[in-house]
Amino acid sequence: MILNLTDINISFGKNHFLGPINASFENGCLNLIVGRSGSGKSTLLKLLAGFHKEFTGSITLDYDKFIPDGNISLTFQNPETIFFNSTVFDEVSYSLKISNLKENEIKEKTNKWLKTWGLSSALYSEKYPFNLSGGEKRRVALAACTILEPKVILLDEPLAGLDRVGQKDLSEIINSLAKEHIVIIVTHEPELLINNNSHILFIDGVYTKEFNVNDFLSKAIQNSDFYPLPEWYVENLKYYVNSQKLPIVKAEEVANFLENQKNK
Amino acid sequence: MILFDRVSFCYNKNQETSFILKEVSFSFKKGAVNGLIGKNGCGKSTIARLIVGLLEPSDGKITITDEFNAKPYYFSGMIFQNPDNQIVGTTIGDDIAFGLENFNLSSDEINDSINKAASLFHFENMLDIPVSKLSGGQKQMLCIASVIALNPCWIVFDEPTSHLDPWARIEFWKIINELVINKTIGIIVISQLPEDINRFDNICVLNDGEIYFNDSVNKFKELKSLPYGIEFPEGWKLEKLLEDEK
Amino acid sequence: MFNKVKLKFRNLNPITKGFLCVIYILIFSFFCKSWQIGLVMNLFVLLSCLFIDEDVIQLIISLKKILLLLIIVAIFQGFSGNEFNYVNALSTIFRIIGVFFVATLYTKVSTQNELLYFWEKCFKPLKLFGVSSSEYALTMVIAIRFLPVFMDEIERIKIAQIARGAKLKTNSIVSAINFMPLLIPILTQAIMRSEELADAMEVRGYSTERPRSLYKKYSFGKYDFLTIFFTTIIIVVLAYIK
Repeated sequence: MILNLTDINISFGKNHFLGPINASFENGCLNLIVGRSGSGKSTLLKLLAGFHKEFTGSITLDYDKFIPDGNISLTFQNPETIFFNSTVFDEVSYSLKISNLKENEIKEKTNKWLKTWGLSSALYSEKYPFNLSGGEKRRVALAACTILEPKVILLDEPLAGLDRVGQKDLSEIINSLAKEHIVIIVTHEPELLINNNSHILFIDGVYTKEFNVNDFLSKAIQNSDFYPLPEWYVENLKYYVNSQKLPIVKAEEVANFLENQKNK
Repeated sequence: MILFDRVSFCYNKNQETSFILKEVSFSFKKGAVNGLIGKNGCGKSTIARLIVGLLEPSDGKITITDEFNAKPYYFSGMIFQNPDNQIVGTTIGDDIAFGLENFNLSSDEINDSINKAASLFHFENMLDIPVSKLSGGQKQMLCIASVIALNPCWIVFDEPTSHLDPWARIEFWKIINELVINKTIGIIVISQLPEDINRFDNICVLNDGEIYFNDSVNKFKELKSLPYGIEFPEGWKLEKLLEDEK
Repeated sequence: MFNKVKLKFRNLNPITKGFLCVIYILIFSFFCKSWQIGLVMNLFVLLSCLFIDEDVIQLIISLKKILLLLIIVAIFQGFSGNEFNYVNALSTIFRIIGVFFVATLYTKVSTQNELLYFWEKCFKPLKLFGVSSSEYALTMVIAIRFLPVFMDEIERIKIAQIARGAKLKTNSIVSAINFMPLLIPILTQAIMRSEELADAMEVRGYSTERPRSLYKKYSFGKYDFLTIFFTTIIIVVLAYIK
């Protein structure tokens, strides 16, 4: 699957806001949208989900015109603010109930989906969402928003406000979701999510530019104004900016990389 | 200095299980960045609220003294997570004025303090700008300016970087380091991000309502094991990996 | 020189501004019996725009907001007798336009703080009944300040729930159950936010028991005196004509 944006220009009233955006998002990798706060990242998500209609240009999914209607899921920062049901099961199965599925189908599908998100139904389904830990709440919210398994999943800052354990759990689940769905993530902490086949759309002012992981890391190492990566990473890798395969921002990967470079 | 002497806190005195803090004793000193870390729900926010007086300890004693200068009143400020939930005024000037008005200062004194605090954060020509026009980072700066205008002895930051983008985070730590160098204000930063540990000078690790560790960051670095949910920053892990290889 | 005068008139004491607004609305409501007086008074209001540095043309254009109202009222007033009464319709229109102009100008030249200061003073007498006007004024500031934040929040929750499949649009009967996905999250958010705000205010020293001071001082100068004097003359003249 491939979602293509061609010459998208976003405006608010008479004011041109962002664009032209040319980008393509695929499944099988994490698509990250990176930029300063207020640069229009969230607006771009709203546009893709069909809630911001002031734009020109075309969006295609597998070369057909893309019409956002039931084939997209959208969550915002702190998605747990959408909770309104009493139990985890009710919360997650809400979308299924609305679409008039049979009772046993709902049950089966919900239990399966809870498991995908690491919330085994025996332990969680009768719990109250508000009594869960931050990481668990986040997973319930994301499970509830994605249960219809749309082709395109849009996430706005899914890791913000979680502790490191919660972030690790969640990024693993998101990575496995990306195999069969086009996952597009707005984030200002790309270093937590970047893996070797991530795809980055960088928003800078009104312009956007697509990067692969290597180009992005190499540019950020050379220019911390472009994107401030952690100091330890920049410090250790500043002599290898021209390398064709920079390690991702994890201690083990960087250690392996440095070891290999030494052996050469 | 802030001194916690066997401080306990619980919501219901009869029930042993509802203890949030169990006889914790530790101290924070001025002139350094004091970090307070621990996983969600370990009692970090309770300690913060005890320091600024929003809560009273169930047992034990909290002593706050000021070794650098004597002030007419002891006041500790706190910066909460979400800047949007703590800005009271509609314009920058109004928000800085709010706290000063609460202390019943005269109009001239207030204007004086507003100008001083505003110039620290380059807000001096923006006093009439509505708060809604500010970016997330600027709002955070405004919250800090509003608290600093009150001339506090201590400021507690409750996960200050969680709502900021990486560029704004760098700006934030610059401000904190300036405050620390000036030494007049004590700084406590609550965080759950391992990367923030790099910025701390002293660190207090909280685990299930008890103090796990309280000393300098250099000593913290030498710890062999950490409680569940707390990790060393990636940079330290790399250092260790590289050392092991040698 | 003239610019300086403009600024002086624009920055009158908030009490003077509020007082004048009320007086002129009363004049338009009760003293403009004939359309000639209405016209003269409206021209006077437009003229006064020059003194408070407001764009006259913009003000006239803004009339289109109430155009429909004007037409409806004119038709009703005109046909109140046996045949269409132009005089009646015209004088009513001038009265409505006048009130609209005065209210618009008042909100344009007053900052939020000035509005609140005026209302706080107006509600002062309520203190006799144990109601604190300053607390109400502060509540109003906070409400005004949080409105945009909340509108954003509601918008976000709405979009998120629609994306989940919630059907928040009801064509036939508005049923409360359909709006549960919107109402409950908004309520929980409101409570959580206000708890944090209350904490933040308390940490910054707010207490209902201690006296507070106000940092903005408003003086009563010769320009306040001038405008009130002038308004009194107008009232006297109008009363004489009547």
